[in-house]
Amino acid sequence: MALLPFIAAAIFLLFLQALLGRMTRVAPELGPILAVYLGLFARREWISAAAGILGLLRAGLGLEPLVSTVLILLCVAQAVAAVRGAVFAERFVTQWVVSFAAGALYLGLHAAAGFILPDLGIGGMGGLFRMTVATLSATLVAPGIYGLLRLLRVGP
Amino acid sequence: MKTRLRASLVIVGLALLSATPAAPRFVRHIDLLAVHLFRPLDAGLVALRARMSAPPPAPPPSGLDERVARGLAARDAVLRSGAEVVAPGRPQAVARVVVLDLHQRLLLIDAGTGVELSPGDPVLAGQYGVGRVRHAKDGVAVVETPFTPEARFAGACAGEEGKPAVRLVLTGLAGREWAAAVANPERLSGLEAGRDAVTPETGDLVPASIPTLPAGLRLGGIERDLKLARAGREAFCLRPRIDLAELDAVVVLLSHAPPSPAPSSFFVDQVARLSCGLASHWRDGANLTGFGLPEGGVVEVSGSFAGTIEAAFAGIARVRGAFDPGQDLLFLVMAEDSVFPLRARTAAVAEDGGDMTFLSGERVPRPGDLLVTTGRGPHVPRGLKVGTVLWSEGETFHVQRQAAPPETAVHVVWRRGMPDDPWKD
Repeated sequence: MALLPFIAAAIFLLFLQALLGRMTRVAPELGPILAVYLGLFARREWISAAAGILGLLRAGLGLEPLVSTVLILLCVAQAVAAVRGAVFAERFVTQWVVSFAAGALYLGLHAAAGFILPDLGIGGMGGLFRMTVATLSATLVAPGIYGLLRLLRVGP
Repeated sequence: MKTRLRASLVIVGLALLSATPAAPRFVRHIDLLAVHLFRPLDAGLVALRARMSAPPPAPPPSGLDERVARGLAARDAVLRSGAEVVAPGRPQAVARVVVLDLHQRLLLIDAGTGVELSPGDPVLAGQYGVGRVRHAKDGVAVVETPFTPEARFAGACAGEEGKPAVRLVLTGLAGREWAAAVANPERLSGLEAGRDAVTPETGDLVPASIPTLPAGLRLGGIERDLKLARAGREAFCLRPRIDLAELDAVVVLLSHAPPSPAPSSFFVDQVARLSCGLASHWRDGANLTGFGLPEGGVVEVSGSFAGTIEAAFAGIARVRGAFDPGQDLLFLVMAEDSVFPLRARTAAVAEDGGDMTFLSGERVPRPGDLLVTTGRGPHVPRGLKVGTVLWSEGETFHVQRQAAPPETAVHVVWRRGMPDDPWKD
């Protein structure tokens, strides 16, 4: 597994997400899903660098504030990496549960960042609701994405 | 291993740097570049939305512009009322308050291009003396108040009936509180807490060449300085009677007559709105295309205030909507019987406008009241319509903005020749 194919796959998925979001205002949030993938399956020494690059891509393609996106995705990836020794990462149920928990962490960190620095906010309760739906709905497709990425041997 | 660690540190450093104002523009607004990726889809989305959109909204109620003009004239008359008493016949100009420096307790005002402001020009609001011009450039001036640290103002505390007023010197106290120390009173025994301090006649003390405020303007209320009283010293301080945070405009007594008619200070440019350029699909807001758009410029749709430009880079401008939550804004409320400034916080965005929470002002706006801009912000003109109050409940009220179809032309308004750093002399 290598970093460049992962970057290419992340660009493709995040562009698709941003496109769908712009057209319909509803799209699964794939940022934390890809961070969980890194946390569960990437080599430990690559997790921080790859999560940082993922944050850059997510901020760039989704017009998100750079600082909060990079730091939050980095936190999510490292949090998942911290528990991966205690779970069976290959099991679908584990992937669902970890993605769900990481999604909740992602939402919490975003809400906290918006509370501390309003400029990083996500547009009040309406925005938070849309983000919750987007993040938690993405967990449903998480095992499929992980399966596809692992099949393609994509990842650092 | 070292390379990977270095890469992580560079990315995190870049992210942290992007949040600081010291970062170069391409780092701060790197996310705006991605808008160009979605631009080719614009035409298709415009056509799709036009097909799916609801019938055009109802035209705005007629007479709104006249109501705004009438309201501004009424507000200006209140602001000018003091000047007509203390300095009749002297040339004057109404200037919007652009920013309030809470730390130094200075005001940045804008009287418009073509109006020549000079250091020492008195600044007042109704019967109150606000301060004097410290320095000015292109119609923009920094005003020091009696509460500005290191500023010196003459004052007088009116005595009881039959007793002469006690003249004194006002020197701003250090700290965030709007208070001035009362120094060098002619008679300490003549000072009394609760009385007003006014600007005195200083002809016998100060030569005519030194600028002073006209006599008879109210400066604030005399209070005991409790901090020094605890130390056993009899001392007084001055506090403003008006909330300067609610001051929308001031009157400047000019040394030179203003040009007539005054040239327009604002530049209006039509720009394109990106239909697919939502800031992100959960952030409310919009993006515009256009090169050279100024940060802080006002976005105007159908004559109404739609927001301000938050960031502009590489032909894309990100807009902070007028109703985006969490903003503390100052408005002028045009009610049927009065016009008054109001501070409110935007609480929620809705399709037709947004909810706001009352912070301070004469009263909570009532249904039917019209909200307009006061001119806070370097490029915000005075009197731009924000919306009409639809309902109010307790401290919350809902403002309905004027509906506009998606194809409506968007204008960006900015002030011509705004000095780069107007605070500096």
